Amino acid sequence: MNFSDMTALQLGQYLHQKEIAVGEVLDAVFEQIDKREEELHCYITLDREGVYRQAERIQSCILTGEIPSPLAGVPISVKDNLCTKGLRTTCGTAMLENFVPPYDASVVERLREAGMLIIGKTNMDEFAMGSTTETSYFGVTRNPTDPSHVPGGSSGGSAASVAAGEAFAALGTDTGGSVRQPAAYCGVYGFKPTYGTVSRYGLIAYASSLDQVGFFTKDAADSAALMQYTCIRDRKDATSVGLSDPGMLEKIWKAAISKERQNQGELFDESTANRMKGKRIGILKEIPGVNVAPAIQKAVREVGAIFEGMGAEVEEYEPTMWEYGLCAYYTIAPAEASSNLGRYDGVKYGLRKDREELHDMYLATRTAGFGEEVRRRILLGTFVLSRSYYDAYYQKAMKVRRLLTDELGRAFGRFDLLLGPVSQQTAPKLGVCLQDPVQMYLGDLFTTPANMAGMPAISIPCGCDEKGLPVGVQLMADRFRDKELLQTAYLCERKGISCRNTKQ
Amino acid sequence: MQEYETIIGLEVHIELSSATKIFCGCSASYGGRPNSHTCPVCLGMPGTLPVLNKAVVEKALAVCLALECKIQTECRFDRKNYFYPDNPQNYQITQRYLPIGEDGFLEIETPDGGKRIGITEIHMEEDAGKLVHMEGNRETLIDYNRAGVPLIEIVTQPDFREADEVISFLEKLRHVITYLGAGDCKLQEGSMRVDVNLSVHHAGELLGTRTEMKNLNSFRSVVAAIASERKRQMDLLDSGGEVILETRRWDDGCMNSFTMRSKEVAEDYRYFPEPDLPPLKITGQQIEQARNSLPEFREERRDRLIRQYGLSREDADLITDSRILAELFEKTVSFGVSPKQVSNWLIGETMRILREKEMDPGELAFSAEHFASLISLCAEKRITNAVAKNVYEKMCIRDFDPNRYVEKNGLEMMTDLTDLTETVKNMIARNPQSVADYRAGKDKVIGFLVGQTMKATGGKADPNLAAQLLRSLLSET
Amino acid sequence: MDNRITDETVEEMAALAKLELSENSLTLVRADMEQLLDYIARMEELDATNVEPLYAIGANECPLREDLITNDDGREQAMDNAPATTGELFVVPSSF
Repeated sequence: MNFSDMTALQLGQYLHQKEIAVGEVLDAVFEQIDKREEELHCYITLDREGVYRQAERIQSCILTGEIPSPLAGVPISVKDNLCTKGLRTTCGTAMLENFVPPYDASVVERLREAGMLIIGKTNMDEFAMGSTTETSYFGVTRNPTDPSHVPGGSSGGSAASVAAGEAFAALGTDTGGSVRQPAAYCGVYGFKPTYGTVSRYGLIAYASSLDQVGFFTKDAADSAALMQYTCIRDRKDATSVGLSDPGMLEKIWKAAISKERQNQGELFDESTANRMKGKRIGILKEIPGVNVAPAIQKAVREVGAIFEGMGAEVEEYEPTMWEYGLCAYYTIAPAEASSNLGRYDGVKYGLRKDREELHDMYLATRTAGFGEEVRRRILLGTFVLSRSYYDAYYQKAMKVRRLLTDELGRAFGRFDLLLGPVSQQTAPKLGVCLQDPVQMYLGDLFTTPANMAGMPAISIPCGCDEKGLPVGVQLMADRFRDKELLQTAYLCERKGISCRNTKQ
Repeated sequence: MQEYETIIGLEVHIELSSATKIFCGCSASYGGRPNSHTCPVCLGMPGTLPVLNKAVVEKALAVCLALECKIQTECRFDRKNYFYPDNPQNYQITQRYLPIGEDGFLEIETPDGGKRIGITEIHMEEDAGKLVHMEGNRETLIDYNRAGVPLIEIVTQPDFREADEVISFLEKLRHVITYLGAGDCKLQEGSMRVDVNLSVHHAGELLGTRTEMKNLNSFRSVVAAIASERKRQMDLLDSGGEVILETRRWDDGCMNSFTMRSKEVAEDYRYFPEPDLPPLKITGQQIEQARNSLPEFREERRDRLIRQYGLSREDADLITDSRILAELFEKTVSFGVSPKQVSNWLIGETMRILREKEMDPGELAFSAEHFASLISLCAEKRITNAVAKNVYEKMCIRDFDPNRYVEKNGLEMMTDLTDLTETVKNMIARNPQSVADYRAGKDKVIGFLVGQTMKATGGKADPNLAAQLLRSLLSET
Repeated sequence: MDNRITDETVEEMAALAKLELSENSLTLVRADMEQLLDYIARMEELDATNVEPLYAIGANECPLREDLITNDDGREQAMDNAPATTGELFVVPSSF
């Protein structure tokens, strides 16, 4: 049986109906990994032994009928900035090359409780700072569609692992687009929940007020299922709120499972069509001076047209604050990072470069432990928080954040969803982006607003461009409207709008 | 030469007495094996997050109210960034921009009458770990047990003019804090730390540059440091020099202070709001509740005890010095014993035992009911004073019912006259020299003989009765 | 705002962040910072005089934790990942 194309929920079904064994699935996954890892390098650490042990436990649960969730037994990969107890967590940096956390991130704990199997830790830009996974201390990850191109970043390894069949789903983190952009580049779904709905405990912090755990999946229903089991308020995270009534998400993926089994081949029906009637969609107007690749523009227009065909009201939306928002993002994120990364000093854990004197040790350790991009952002962050610059930069950025969030709030008074590009281009070639940092930062224009305002957003794969590289389209909703967002994304799929790139 | 005026302000750090640290569930108690009171959160491990302790907020709120501060109904935490090994995250979570309390005061007594010392602000923050510098091999050892222990910082206005005022303030502050049960304020243990800001100037002229003095480990050090720094600044100015803004470290050994090694003189702490903690909202209701549960403070209680129980001012003063003893007093009286007797016991035996055994009133084991029983036993002459004191000392360490104890161990006062007479006769027979001395007119000898009788009877003889018997027997012959 | 910064400022910031700057890299780093500061300074175009900064994006009220000891002896765990210890205490070179 070829199950490598299945979604996580589909696989779960087959496992729970005992049509395949968990061990078999793992064998197939590792076969794929052995086939492609050398070229793609999605993983920093693979936990072969550990995951087979987990598999045994889940298999016995399945046999006794005590199945913890519809996702039980499904192998998932985890971005290496999410702590896994007893399993090395490097955050893509030399500083934590040998760090083994004695605790799980809360989101990892939830998925273990749901019975998911953690295959390994995926490659990422160092400390999640980057858009191509090229700043990783452990080498680059390549795009499964075309290995001479980047997979995107900072969660490149996670995105690539799902696209390449090396995992059925993946955990990533999104601070300025780090889940949505690599999802678009690799041709998979990338979902960033509302800030505060998924716990940040155990997420190695880059920018605390912007970081959020996100999911890479083969379809929207899988994201809904993952979200349901993780959007619980966590007492270990004071900023956590959870999602009220997560059970609503169940409707989405239950529908997916039942339809899959009943209506093989039928992608669209009356009831799904009615869901879009009267929905108000804001389609992002072109921003002067910002060049979006034609294939991407086309995909956005097509999706808009299809929504219209289904009875939605589609209008143009013209944001005024997004470019300023990007400046504010590159003020706030480095500022918080400069403080969050202060703890890496060789004293309690991580890398240490021994010296005779304390401050020399700090200097040597941090200079050796951090790569260029990380040092750049720490330095920038130090500047904007310093006495002479605090008001003009940091305070100003916090005010711009308010203006941007208010503008988006008003937009969601007019619209139910915002539709637009995820990035200006499809996956660039390796070795190109790092040459011009500011140019690279500009690539985050469409994704950062959702982080700044704490709103949910999803990247939906919509075919490829003329070079065969995947194209992604972004849908955004107001805070706590995660369910509506996922529902619409699910509809896109049923309607055949979106299809992931299955080329492996 | 014109007189110099001294201006002094204080920054007082107080360790709050919660069971756990401010941002994690580790024990906040003093002592404990090094690094045993730690967890990933207070060690600043990657991915960990702070969660605020309810008791810390309650105690901080109580202190703010007791010091008449205006409460910030929406206060925030901020990060203070600097590198130092006692600080696991290399930032301290504190309250820079919106502290919990502002604009309060505390009244002190001075020879010229009452004086109000202004409190600029009170804020919550976390303590750092402890460093031990090893001279020999140029190494520093770190214990993070104290990292994350909750502190409040109390900043006063520069309203002090004399060292005496400072001591008066600190004593009163300590009293308030301990009365609230918010902290134990022991300078020597570091649960209360005082930094002194001092400047001098000629009356009528502009204020002088101030210096900050740290490492003051006792009230004596505070007094000495103030005198020393005052003189140093005056001498400096008199000789045409300038006082520079600096932090100095007091040294008890040489009774002098030194400039602290380039201690981040202009260090930029890059304060910014703590993104991991949402704003702390304090409702009007919470404030009212806290205000209503403020304990009666010393003066009010003292005056009330005088009124209600007829205690002398002196006795009331002694008892109300400790909130626990004052409460014990009232509770014990409620079991039907006379206030005068309870107060005698407290001022006499109890305080002696506390002193000798270096115990805190909070460590006394006995219940008020058992205390009342003991006092009754003694007052009703069912046991002797000697036996009572003995039993009491045991009760201080371990609580038990004195009635049962006395019964079980047969400690009742000897009532059998025959037995006592027998014993007394033995004492007389065994101490011919004392008898001779008594007959020679040394009346004090009776005391010695009574003592011997007490010893022989395990303290159960009624000393007065024994004395009577001795006199009558000795005068017979 | 003139975003020209001096070498001294860069050195100060690097010292605050505990990052080493080699002789040759100082000029490059300064130019780098100037470019970045130039970029984010575009925010100046916006008038935000009466705007309140946005601080809390998740929960808008600080949750409180009961004052109960939930952690056991953490010494072993603390020592496990540490680069240098006496078995009980962390060891670092002294500062001088």
